[in-house]
Amino acid sequence: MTEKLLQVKNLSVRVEEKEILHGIDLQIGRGETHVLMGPNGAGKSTLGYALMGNPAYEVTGGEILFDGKDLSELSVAERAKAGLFLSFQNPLEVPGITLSNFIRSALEQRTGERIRLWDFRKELEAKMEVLQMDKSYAKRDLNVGFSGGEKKKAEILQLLMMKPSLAILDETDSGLDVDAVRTVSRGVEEYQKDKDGSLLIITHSTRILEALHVDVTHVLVDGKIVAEGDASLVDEINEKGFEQYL
Amino acid sequence: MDMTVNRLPAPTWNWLRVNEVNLRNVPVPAEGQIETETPDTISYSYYNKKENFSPADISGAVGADLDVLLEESDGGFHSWEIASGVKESAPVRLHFCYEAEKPVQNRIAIHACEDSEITVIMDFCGEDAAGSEQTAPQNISDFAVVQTKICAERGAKVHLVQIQKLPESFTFLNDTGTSCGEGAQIETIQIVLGGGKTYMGMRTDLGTKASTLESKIGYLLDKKESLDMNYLAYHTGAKTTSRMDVSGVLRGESRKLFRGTIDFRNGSVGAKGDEKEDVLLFSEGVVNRTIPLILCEEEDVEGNHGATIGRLDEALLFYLASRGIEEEEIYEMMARARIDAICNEIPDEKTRELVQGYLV
Amino acid sequence: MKEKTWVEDVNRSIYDIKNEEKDVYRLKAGLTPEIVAQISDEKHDPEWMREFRQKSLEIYNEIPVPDWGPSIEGLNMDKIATYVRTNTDMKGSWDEVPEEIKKTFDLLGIPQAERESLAGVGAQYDSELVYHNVKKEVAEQGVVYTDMESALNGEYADMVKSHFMKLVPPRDHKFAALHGAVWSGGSFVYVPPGVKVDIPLQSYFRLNAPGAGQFEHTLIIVDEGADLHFIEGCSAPKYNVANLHAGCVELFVGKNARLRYSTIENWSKNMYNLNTKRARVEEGGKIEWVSGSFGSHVSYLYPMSILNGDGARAEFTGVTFAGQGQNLDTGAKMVHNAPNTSSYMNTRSISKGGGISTFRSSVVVNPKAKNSKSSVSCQSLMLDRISRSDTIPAMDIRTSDADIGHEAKIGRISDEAVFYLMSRGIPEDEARAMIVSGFADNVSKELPVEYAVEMNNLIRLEMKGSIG
Repeated sequence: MTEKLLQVKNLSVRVEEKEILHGIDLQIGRGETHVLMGPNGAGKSTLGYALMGNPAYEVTGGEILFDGKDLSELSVAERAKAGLFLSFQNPLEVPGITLSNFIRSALEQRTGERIRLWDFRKELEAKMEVLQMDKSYAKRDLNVGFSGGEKKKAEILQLLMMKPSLAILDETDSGLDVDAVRTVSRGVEEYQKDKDGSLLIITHSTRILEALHVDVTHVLVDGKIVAEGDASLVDEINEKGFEQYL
Repeated sequence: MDMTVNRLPAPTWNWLRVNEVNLRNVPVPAEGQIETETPDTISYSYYNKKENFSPADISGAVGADLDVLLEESDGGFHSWEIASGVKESAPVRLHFCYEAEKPVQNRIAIHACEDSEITVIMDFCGEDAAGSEQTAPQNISDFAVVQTKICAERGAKVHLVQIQKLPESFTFLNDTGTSCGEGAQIETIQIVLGGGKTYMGMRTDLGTKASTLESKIGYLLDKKESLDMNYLAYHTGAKTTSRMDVSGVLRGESRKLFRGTIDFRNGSVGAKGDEKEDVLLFSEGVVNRTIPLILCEEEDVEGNHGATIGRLDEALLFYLASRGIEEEEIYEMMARARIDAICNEIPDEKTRELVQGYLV
Repeated sequence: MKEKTWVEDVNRSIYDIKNEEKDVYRLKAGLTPEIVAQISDEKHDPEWMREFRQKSLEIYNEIPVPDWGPSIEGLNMDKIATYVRTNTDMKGSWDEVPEEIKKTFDLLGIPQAERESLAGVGAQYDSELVYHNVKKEVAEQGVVYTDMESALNGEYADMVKSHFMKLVPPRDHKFAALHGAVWSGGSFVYVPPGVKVDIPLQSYFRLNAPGAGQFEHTLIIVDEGADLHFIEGCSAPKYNVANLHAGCVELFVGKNARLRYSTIENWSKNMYNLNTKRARVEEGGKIEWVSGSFGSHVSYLYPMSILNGDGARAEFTGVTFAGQGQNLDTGAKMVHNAPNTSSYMNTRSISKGGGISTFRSSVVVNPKAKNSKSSVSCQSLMLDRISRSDTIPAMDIRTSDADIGHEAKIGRISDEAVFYLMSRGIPEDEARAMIVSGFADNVSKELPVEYAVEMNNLIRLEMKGSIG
């Protein structure tokens, strides 16, 4: 059996003196799509931040192996370069840097090579079309004055351009209307197909999952994984909610 | 002569040493040369006094001593006037190139008649003196002064853009004063990318109803450069608004002092004033001082001030790093982004390119 | 019938007459070494203090009056001896207390005995008794709580000597020098290591101990790991015949210790309040200032926190209410001298009836103070267009490894908020008073409940009569 892409072993995480995650085990194989569900405050976003290496989230126990490497030694940027991607729930506004320039410099940082502007622009426009984003957004400052939906699309655009091996989507569907969810989920599908990308979709609703193939579902309650199953677990939670786990 | 400049409109503790700046042995400058370019719709003249608009009656913010210095220098005003109702998008360009050890001054007057629109772009550069080491502060020799007086009549719109890239040996005094008619709009963009000791002041008299000021300042300072600013939005008219956005980066052992005052005088009913400052500190030797005043003697007003100083916000740092960009690179990007964000607002492609050229 | 507040009733001539009456104490025009020596005699000063006073007097005569704040022209500096002598030989009777102040006591519901005590006349009655009881209770924990004169000559004389005016040297400003020369009264508190004092100590109980009131010196030393809450003043107006207050507060917060210093200042409205307060905080220690300024004609008050140890913290929470005839210049100063220090300032100012309130602050972060944080938030409320409100903050940052935030806001009561409350049946003046109390809740939330209630009563009192 091939080694799993992501192996989280007995992970505990603390934020400001308070332990939020208490011994999480989670494995994601290449090309797999996992869903992490749970009620508000369960620690779902904390897991995403801890995997990405946010310094405010202190790993107090356990380990994270990504592509066989121990992530604890890597900085946030190094994790990204290793192929990890986090789509933020609340992407930050960055005045003075356009969306297009930002993606290009992130790609150049990663490969260490200059990217041909023509090729880059062509690909960017193609991906923007998938996401039904107006081309003008490429020239606007990153997330500045974007609506909630546009910010989420800009995150998925970065995902499609950067082609990580594992993408963590943190509540990417929250605050979006039905149409926007559909568009975003089309973008995520494209990512799955394009590079056999792995996904960890963090959500407390199930709307974004309707159009996606799900391999494994994890239920997180009070900082612990309390149930695991296949895609049918999503439907079950959809029907009954989280009550049975509380 | 000895001068006191950039006096804080309401003084505070003397030990902070921010109430004013004392300059010693300031040479009396001669009148300097300017290269100019004027669109056909705008008239240019040179004079000492004029009846309908006397620039000397409009106050700047550097202070009365500057007026004394300029009187001693005995130069006239370069004046540009745009007639009522004329809206010109092509800018008036003023190119100042200063030479070492030749102290010069220029007085500029801009008169925008009713419902006109004018753009004035000034760029200041200087000849690098041999060695370019800064002379002792007591001995100012590479020295330049510019004073700009703007009269914006009812409904007029004035864009003023100033780009400064001077050698480290230069001491530069840059003063602006504006008076606004009803509904007049003043938009200024000032970018400071170099200069040994720069003293900038700007006073905007928002005297009549619904006039507005939007002022943007960006700076990148390095080595031992210092930038000392005194900005005053003086609200006396009803429903007047002012907005000052200052953002910059300090590296090396550079120093910056920003005095920004919103003054709501009696009668400024319904006025709004906003001040925002964002300072990124790059190295250990820097000194950042920020004095944001709100003075108020009117009830129905809204004043806000916000400042963030120091390193980059942790959340922002994490967000950018999560895209694979190293911290050092993020700082470089953000330093440049601060200037880019302001540069992008310049309503002239050529000037944007000039700034981009300086940034490379 | 409309309630009238004493704020509007102040008749300045009352005070003028009083000064005339007190002229009998005016020995010489200026303050002389002889007068200061006489104070030393009366206080039985040890030799070092005699010298200290004389040295301070010299400094006082050298330093000019401040040139940056509210005008203190009403203070006759040439006749400074008047202020000093009226204090040391203070006499008075209940009849001399202005009617307005008596009325305020009534409205605030202050018992007769305390009224007389607060007004600077009469004996201590039960206040004195309470003071003694408190003293006894904390003494059992090893806490020293005594008046400055006793401390100067008692068991803790050396400790007093090594701390007295070390934080606020006489050279600091003219009124610090004056204080050094003529100080009398005040409290000395020493909390030994690890001792946590459960009840707040309240200087109010001993405010009128002989000689206290105008030039009092408060010296508090909270040793390593100890914890204390000290409350100064209360919300009734303190009436003093002479109208200069130049007190001094020095607080030493030891390693991992905590000190909360709460003040509700409500001097009578003829007072020039030129008070100096300063705290030095060692490693891991914390100073918390809670400050309400309501009284005085003119105030200069900016408690300073010097964060000298790694991880030291300071918080300042303040409210200032300037009504008619008042010019209150208040705020705080923070100095970061060590790594990982943090300071937090949260203030509200209210201006009404022609009153002037100025928020003045400074945050200084020195190169040594790596990884420091500071956050300042100041809000001002203008209640009419004849008043004035100024915000004069300063930041001086000298390390790149810092996180400094500042926000200031000025505005008025929103008509919508008033309308909303009125739509629930609350009369307009009451609605406005409620909104102003709410605006000041940053301070009232931090006070013991009885003080919070008194403060809100005080705000209501200041607000009444503002309409119609």
